[in-house]
Amino acid sequence: MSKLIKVNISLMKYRFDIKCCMVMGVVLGVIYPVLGKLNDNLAWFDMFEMGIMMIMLLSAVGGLFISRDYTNNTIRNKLTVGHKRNDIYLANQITDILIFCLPVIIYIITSVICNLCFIGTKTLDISAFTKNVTVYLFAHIATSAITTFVAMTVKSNAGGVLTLILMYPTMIFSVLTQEFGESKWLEIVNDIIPLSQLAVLMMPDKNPAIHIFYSVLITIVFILGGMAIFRRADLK
Amino acid sequence: MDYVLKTNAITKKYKDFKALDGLTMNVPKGSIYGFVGRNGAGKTTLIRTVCGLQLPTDGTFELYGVKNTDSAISDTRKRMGAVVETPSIYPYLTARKNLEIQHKIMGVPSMNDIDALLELVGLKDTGKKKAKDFSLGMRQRLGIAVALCGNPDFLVLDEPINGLDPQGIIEIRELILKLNREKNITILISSHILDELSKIATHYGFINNGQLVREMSAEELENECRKCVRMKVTDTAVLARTLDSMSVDYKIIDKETADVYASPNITRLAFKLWEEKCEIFSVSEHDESLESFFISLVGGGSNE
Repeated sequence: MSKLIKVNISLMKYRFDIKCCMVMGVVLGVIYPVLGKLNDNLAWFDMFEMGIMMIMLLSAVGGLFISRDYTNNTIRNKLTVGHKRNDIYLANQITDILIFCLPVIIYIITSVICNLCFIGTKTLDISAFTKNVTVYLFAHIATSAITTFVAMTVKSNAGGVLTLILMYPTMIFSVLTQEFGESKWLEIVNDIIPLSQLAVLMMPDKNPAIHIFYSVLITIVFILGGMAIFRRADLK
Repeated sequence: MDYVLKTNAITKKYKDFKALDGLTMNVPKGSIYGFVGRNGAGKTTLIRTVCGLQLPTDGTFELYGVKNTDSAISDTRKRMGAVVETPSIYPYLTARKNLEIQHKIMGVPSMNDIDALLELVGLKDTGKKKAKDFSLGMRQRLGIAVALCGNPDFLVLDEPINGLDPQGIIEIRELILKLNREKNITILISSHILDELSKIATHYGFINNGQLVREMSAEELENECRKCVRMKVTDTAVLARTLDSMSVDYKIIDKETADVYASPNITRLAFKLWEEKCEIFSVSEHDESLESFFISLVGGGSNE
């Protein structure tokens, strides 16, 4: 599997969209605090506002990275020379986690540096902030698992953008729940959906452990499900 | 005889449709095995199954004596390379980078043979040109170069000359012959262009409706397809006796028809037959091409 991960990392270096995501992490990490400072309205937790936008873009980039393996038929090169299907799936999953998390980590580091420069640590609750960052990263990992699942099972370019399309109804659901949701099951669904988890991170997260648990659960379920489907899939 | 690939009653079903129906074939080591069949006959399905892209519904196959159900099949697959329909290449990379990536996929640390591979397929001078800007023939050759990474001794080519211009077809043909003769690579090649196939294949497998209709060597096929004079006479028994006395090779088709595989002295033959009271109705040149042989095996029409 390590060979396949190395190959994917090599390919990432040649992909313009992935490079753009890395640059976007830095640019957003600088622009957002600067704008907040200019408007005299900057708080430490504001940086999590970018989460939803970034995750949507990253799911498209991550999905397309994998689905290109199908559209270029290069997945055949891996299977024909004897790589196991589980290894191919897991290598793609790890690569997708990197595609999701590297720009986010770059964004967080840049934002933290800017926030330290602009507002210092006086208003910072380090414990709450660390919990939010952890929830933020796990929500991205869970979304990467969904993206990999969709891309590896749809097996075409459509798989690359399907996750992005699915995010719109999820986002609408999340907004509607916040507006009208009083029922317990709506709250639970909202806690499960990674996008909804990100929506509440502009404040210190009240249930970080629950959110992380659901993200880990989603990650495991989608990886195992995806591997089971991919193992039996007929490829062209 | 050593076989690189042996399939044993392999079946592949898509819902109710049987793409492969108990297909049994044997690819001898060192051969160029021409896999012939109409569209939808099951050629590509078999190739995909052998390459591990699809799993058989029933039956088994052996690659270098290792069964597909054996865990060692993964390692055995490292001995083969394949181009299935379209070449599997990264369009945004150069030819060299494509080969480097394939070396990494295979875990081959040395990149020393890349230059030799590019030279072998005639892509040494492509420089920084990306694969997406290559012509169809160049992409096909790059696909073969990718399949040749790791020095495989079994190469599977599915319709490698589809869409190529005459020059491209000649280049691919020469490359296949070179690989087989100089590197002793066994090649399984499927093609619709039977005339081209007949120029390189040493063995043939004819497939129809997911079943292997006939498997034969090029010599056997040549014997079946060779030029002859078809004679219609009143009694083929007399004709046979006469031809035997003239030491001429022939084949009796029915009571009135026979194929004569030489150019006998027609006047002498006619005179001898006349003496035996055997009348000649007609004499015509008969030449069965690979196409007509194939049609006679599988019948007309289409599987699509």
